[in-house]
Amino acid sequence: MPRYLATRLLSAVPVMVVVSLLAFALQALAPGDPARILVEASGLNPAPLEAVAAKRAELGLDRPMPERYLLWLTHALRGDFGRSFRSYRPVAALYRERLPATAALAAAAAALTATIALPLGMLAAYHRGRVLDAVAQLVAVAGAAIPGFWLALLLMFLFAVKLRFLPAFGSLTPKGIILPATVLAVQNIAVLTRLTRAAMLDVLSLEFVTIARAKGLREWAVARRHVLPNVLVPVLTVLGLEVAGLMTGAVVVEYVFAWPGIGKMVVDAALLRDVPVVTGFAVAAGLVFVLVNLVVDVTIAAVDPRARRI
Amino acid sequence: MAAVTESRVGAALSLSSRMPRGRIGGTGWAAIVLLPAIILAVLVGPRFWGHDPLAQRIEIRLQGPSRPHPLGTDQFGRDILARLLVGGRWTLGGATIVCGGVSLIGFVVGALAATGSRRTDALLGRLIEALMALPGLVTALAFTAVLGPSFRNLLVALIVTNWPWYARSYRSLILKERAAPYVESALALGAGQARVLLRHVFPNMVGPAIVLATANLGSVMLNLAALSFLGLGAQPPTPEWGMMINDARPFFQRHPWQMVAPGLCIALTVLGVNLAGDALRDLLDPRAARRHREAS
Repeated sequence: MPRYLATRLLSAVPVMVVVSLLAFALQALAPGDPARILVEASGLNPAPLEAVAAKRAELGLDRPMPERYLLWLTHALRGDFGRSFRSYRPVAALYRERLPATAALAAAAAALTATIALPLGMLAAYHRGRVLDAVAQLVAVAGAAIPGFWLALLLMFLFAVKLRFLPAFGSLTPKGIILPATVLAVQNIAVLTRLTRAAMLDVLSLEFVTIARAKGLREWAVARRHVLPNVLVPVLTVLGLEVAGLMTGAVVVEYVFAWPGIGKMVVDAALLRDVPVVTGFAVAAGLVFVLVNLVVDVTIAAVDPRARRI
Repeated sequence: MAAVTESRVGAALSLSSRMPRGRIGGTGWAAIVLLPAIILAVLVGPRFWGHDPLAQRIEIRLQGPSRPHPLGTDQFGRDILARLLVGGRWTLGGATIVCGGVSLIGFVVGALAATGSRRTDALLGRLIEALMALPGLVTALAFTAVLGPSFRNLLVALIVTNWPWYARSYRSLILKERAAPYVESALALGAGQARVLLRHVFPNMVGPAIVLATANLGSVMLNLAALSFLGLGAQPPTPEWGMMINDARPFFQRHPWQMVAPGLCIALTVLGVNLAGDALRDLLDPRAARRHREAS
């Protein structure tokens, strides 16, 4: 297990290198003089020439590209991602402040997804070709086609404007989290139901299931002891991807519900062309993806000894 | 979203036959009716529906459905039906351009990886893997924010974020094809790598390419509409569907119908595209279809 863990950690390095190069390239591509924008953002408007020159030297803008990248990287490794073009606050601090709201929303949406998609997918597999199966298929097909932001507006209209029992805009309260979490869950349920059902059917057709049934085990015991552990592997992988997606991909839904999370902040930053905040997001997304995948792989290795072989 | 793409692309990858031999299921027929109807409406609809999608008439703003305006009017008194018909050209056309561009880049990079040296392959493989680690919407958002919001930049951003999927798929498709007898004989006759690739392998990639692109078109459309909705794509007064929902947002509490129509258009089109993708795969690969039917 320790060796497996070490290999997995090492394989994350190239991913982060490419992500950091991408984030740096975006920053370097952005039009405008970051030194002047930053000095103006710090409150000096119009920016005095010597202050701009000092800032330029501090940011290393007068040096060649490879050197600039290394400088940026050493700062980034220390958790310094520069300052916002608008509020002049450190980007890392902005993300830290917004993280709890996004994490809460992601957790709620993931919990909702798992509690609906797993039973639905499994039952659909057991009831193949019958009504319940058709319902599951419909959920999967419809959920994949409905735009999230549109569903968000429709639910807002129905529950907040017409029925008036849920707040229209997200607040970090149990009631405020229901609508955004539901919208996010709908899209993920579509994917996970389809996958659970397919994985379930795959396992059910294997010989050891027939043997377990033949030796007289009750169906419930077969499902719990023999089928579930095998279904769990693909399901956990996708659920992990979905959580990573929720931490970063909830931008549109957060924006519609004015949810005080990272996604809303990034969209606002993108509209104002606050480059450091936006590129910080690319790094954060890469980091979340790598971490979540690591957790998923280690969990799977713990559940399934076959996965420990490299 | 990424996971959907992966499973769809994975299914498309299992293509083995080039001759259409499979059957079309019930949902396939639904797609065959739905999708051409939408494409036809978008292509020729504006010619028959005389209203100007940009003509503003403030005196009839925010009206409900009526005979002259079957879907009502928006906040500037523009006819919503006319805007929807033209808007489809932006949403569907934009997504098609993205998928076409991505197919081209994906094929070139995939061919480089499949036919290049071991080191090129490893390097490209790492790059592709790392780029796929980033959620597509995140990178596209960052690109449009940095390049400046416009429809053209949005298309560029979506191409940049989607090509790694295609490159990986084409790489394995080309590797598989290279083992085929006709490739070996062409090489034995002295044809160069590039010639074999373009004259012999490329024509055989057209079928899988269409399946791959169709499988991905729906999610590209959703991302395109979402970013336009955020104001990072098409700019006013362009009647792009996601943009139209954004236009309707300030009025949705009192005039909800204004956003219902464009949303339905997006959902139905994506549904049609997804079903068509499944049907195409089934049609081109009966073996995968049987597996699919048994599994589903």
